[in-house]
Amino acid sequence: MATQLSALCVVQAMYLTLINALKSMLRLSALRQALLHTIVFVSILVAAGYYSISTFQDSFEQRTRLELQTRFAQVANDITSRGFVVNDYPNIGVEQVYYVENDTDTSNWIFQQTGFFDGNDSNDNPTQEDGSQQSQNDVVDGLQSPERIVDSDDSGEWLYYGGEIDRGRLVVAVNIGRQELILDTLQQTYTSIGIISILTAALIAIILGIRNQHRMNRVRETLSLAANGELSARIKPVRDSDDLDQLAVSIDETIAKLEVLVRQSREFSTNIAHDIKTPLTRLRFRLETVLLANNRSDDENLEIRKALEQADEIIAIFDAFLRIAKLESGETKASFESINLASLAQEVADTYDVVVEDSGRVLKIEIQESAIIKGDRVLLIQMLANLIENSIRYTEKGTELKIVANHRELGLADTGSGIPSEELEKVVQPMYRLEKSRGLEGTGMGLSLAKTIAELHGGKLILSNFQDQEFQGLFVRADFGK
Amino acid sequence: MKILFLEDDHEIGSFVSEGLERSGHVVDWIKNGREALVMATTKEYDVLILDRMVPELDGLSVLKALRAAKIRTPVLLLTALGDVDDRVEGLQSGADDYLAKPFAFSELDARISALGRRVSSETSVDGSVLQIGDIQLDLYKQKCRRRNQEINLNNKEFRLLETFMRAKGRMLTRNMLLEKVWNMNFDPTTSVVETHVSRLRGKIEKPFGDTVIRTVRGAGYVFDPD
Repeated sequence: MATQLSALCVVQAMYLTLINALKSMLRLSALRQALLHTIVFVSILVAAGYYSISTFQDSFEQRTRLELQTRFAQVANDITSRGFVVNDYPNIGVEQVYYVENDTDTSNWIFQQTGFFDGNDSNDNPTQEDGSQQSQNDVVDGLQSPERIVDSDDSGEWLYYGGEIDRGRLVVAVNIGRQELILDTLQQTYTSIGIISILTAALIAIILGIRNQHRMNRVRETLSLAANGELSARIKPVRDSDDLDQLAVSIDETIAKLEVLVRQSREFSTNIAHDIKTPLTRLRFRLETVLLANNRSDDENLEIRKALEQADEIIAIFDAFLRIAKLESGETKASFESINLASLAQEVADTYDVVVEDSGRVLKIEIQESAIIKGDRVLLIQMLANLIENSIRYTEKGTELKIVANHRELGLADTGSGIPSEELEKVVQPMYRLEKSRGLEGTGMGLSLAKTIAELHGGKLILSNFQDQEFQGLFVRADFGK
Repeated sequence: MKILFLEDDHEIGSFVSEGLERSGHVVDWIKNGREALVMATTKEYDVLILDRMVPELDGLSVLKALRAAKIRTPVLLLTALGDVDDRVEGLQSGADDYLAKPFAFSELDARISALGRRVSSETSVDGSVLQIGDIQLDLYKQKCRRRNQEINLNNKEFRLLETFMRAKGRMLTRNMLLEKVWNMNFDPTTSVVETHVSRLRGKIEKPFGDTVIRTVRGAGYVFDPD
């Protein structure tokens, strides 16, 4: 039983593998093109075959009829002039001649079966008195059209022509098996050509497809490396023969240009960082020196502390901005490891529950299904921390916050007033702030950084206002996809 | 302590070296990397403070050259970049600590002290039990006792107290605690550290009517039960 089951599984697995292989082969553009060409070619072949066979058949039949009629007239003429000489017509080979005198027995099967002499004789009776030429015409006009009958002795199909002549009844038959043979051969030829061309086309397509697939894969791998910030990646086509090679060359050139641009912008941001942070450091130190001198009143010291805080806020905004820029350019290589989203959510909850509590709000955690993703722990913590800090900053006291970890989703819901739906898209832009939140503290970078972090992990940040029986408010979550 | 300080900016350099000297250190302030490398290889220092962006030879290269020459003097790297991967790169190159500009002087001072005293910890460790004064921390069982009274600490409070006890008598800044306890090397805008420290105090100080964690205003905390 068990072996049967496992055998079944194996068969099923093989079947699935086969289906998948076929599916992936159908994705090969070369194979698709070749298939299309083959279908078109075979259709033309079928049409041409049908046309030529039917044309051949028609003309062959017409010719045979004409020949048969001529022969009939000839035999009739001979009989009229010399009488019926049986030995002249041995009835072997491709011709048969039957003749009976009018007054003899006409019960021979051939006269019965062909049916040339039934019914009204007046119409069928050829009357010829003058010359053979005349009589032939009369025969042709006066007789029923030749009729095909398959002989019982398996010698193939015969075409019969019969009629009454001078003193008796004459039937001439010719074997048309030849025609069938030629038609068969013709059909076979067309079928073989069709099958051979389908097989050849398929084989060439598979070879070309696999070859092209390798080259395409190389292009795709290089592009995805570049997209991940590995800008030294190049396709480096071996030859420069076809359009695919040319495409590869232009992609290489584009990545090279991008590499230069990114390096320039990196140097630029490094220089900006240095040029702005050095005076900021001096500013901070000067303020600290004043504070340390300790010869001022508490009020004055408070003012200096506030100035220091402002300086720190400038630095925080600037840092967040640089950070987003670097993460987005793919220049920062996050250190990815396997991360259990549920335990990460729990860790953030442990860190923030007291902070949220002290702010007069409540932090809950809801873990529906845990998943492990490849991610940067510090960045993911920061993402969730930003969402929590945003909620604390922009909601009323008494609001309920809930960290939600559900499968490959990680986010924060709160029972605050939400965000107007027309603003949902804008709030993730750097420095964008809702009208009501202007004047409040904060860098205006929190959501934007969260979005960048979600995207760095191959996911997206989804903002939605939601409403159900017990909860109503804003839900921001990162969906890390498959 | 004897400190080598590599910094090309005159104003920052003089402020920091004066500050360090006021804290009782001896400071050699050097303005270019090549000279710093020569000094660091020929003289004995307790701590090196290297700025990343200086003329001739940058701080990171000096650090790499020193580590390649098997000179293990603790190094604090200063940088204007302050990004995650710069930080990682610095630590991977052998830096012991990392500080982004602009920084508060107290932050630098606290980190220098931590680096210099890294080896000589006054905390007694008996197996998995950490003990300072009447406070006992069982790292294995995750239990805390004071004066034979069990104190119920949650996960983060436990990690926080352990960090404090291991740095007995030394100042720990907010950022240092964020890095060590919460794994956060970014600056949260909310008072994560302050809130947790105050909760911890509520548990290990309040019932016993004394102070073991001292707040250094605008700078950080010192764990000092005496």
